[in-house]
Amino acid sequence: MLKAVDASAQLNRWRQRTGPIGLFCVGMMVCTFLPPSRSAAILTGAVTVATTLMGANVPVGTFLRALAAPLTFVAVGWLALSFSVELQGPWPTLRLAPEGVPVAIDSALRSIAATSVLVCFACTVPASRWISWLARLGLPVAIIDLLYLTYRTIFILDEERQSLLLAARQRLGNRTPAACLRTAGHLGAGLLVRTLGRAHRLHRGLEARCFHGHLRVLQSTTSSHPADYALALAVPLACGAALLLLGRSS
Amino acid sequence: MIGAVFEISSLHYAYTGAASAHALCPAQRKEALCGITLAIPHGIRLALVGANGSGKSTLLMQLNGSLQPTSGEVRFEGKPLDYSRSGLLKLRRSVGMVFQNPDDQLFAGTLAQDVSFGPLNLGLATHEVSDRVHEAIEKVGLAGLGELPLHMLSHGQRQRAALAGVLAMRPQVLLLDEPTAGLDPAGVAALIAQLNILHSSGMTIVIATHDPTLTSRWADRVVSLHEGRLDLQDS
Repeated sequence: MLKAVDASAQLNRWRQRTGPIGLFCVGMMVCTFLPPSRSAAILTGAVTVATTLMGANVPVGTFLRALAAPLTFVAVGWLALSFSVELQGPWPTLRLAPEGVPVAIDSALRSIAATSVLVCFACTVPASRWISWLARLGLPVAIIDLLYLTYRTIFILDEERQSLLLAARQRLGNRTPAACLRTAGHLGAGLLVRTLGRAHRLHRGLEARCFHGHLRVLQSTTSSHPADYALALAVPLACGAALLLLGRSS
Repeated sequence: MIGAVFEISSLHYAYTGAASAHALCPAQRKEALCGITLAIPHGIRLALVGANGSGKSTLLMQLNGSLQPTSGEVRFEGKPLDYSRSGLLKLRRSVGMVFQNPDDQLFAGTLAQDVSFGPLNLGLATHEVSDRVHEAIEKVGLAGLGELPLHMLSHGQRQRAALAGVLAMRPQVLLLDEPTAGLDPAGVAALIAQLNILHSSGMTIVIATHDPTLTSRWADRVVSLHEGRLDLQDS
């Protein structure tokens, strides 16, 4: 899933427009918190999804897969708010909480809308660009170094995990649930050891290129047209205005 | 080819813990390098050959100061290597090393960012770094891929990316550890062509390899290692 999101960020139609997309996402995120909450969530969610899929041309499957994991948490929260445990009687019983359902729906809709905005950003802005952007904003260099290393290491470890898993399957390491669990344990342990070895070798590799404590690289630059910024700001402003009107009329 | 860029005399090296490993596993010998004496002339194309574990990579890492001899001496341009932090930084401005596994060297978000790392560490101005990055990426045949993240490159492309990262520093000596590992014949041919261009510009190139094509068609001199000892020197 990570690879699909990253590929989408690298290949989408707006990959060079980091600034305008960032502005659009911040604006839409603010809109999700405006009243009336249900309308705000539905409107911002719909606009964000349409913009991501039709504007940036992000594949629907990638967008939905990226949304799936956070939606699981939203679903758990929704269940906890919608139902309550009744302790009167011989056995505890589960019952619908009438006062909790509207709150659950509001918070679920708002969470889905806000998560959609985040997924829109993840699927349209390459990591190297937003890290560069943070570096230009003056984030401490240690954090920038960590972000670069984490971004690179995630994909190296993912490749190693895949090769280790494939090798384990070739030797029937997944023939029973117990074997699967054992294989997963070995895989985790193997990855930990490999990570330590790799960290040591990477340090040696960096030292060979005169590393002296800071992973300084040329930061990616983008030059977006002012019209892109204007459009990126106009959409959230229009949403905000619509929500204001809706709030007054209701 | 006047004078020696490297002079190695009576070089011994043992990895930490190797003695205890030897007790448990006889295949793990006590010393990785045993009494190596070798002169590497300026402008030469030298191939280090030998079986796995013969000490080729260890010898390369002695040349760029990644490892310090247990005894013996390595001299660069007539002076003993200085293993202090500043001494190593000075050495690595002149001696670049490309490691066997490119993932041991590549760390940044994109190819261009990774290639810029070395030149920025040399203290060059941003515009100079940018020029060098473009030039190095073009030299290794990866033009147009500078903004791609490294995990989107193939293994062969990553090897070339690692080479670009070192070439951008314009070293005087280039050390390459198994540069043809994982490359197809076309990739090997392209690498040889690239190395010949670098050599014609006066660069000294030392390669650790198993590849007979490199040793027979490319190298001016072949040095064979066996269990950490010099076995044979062909001219």
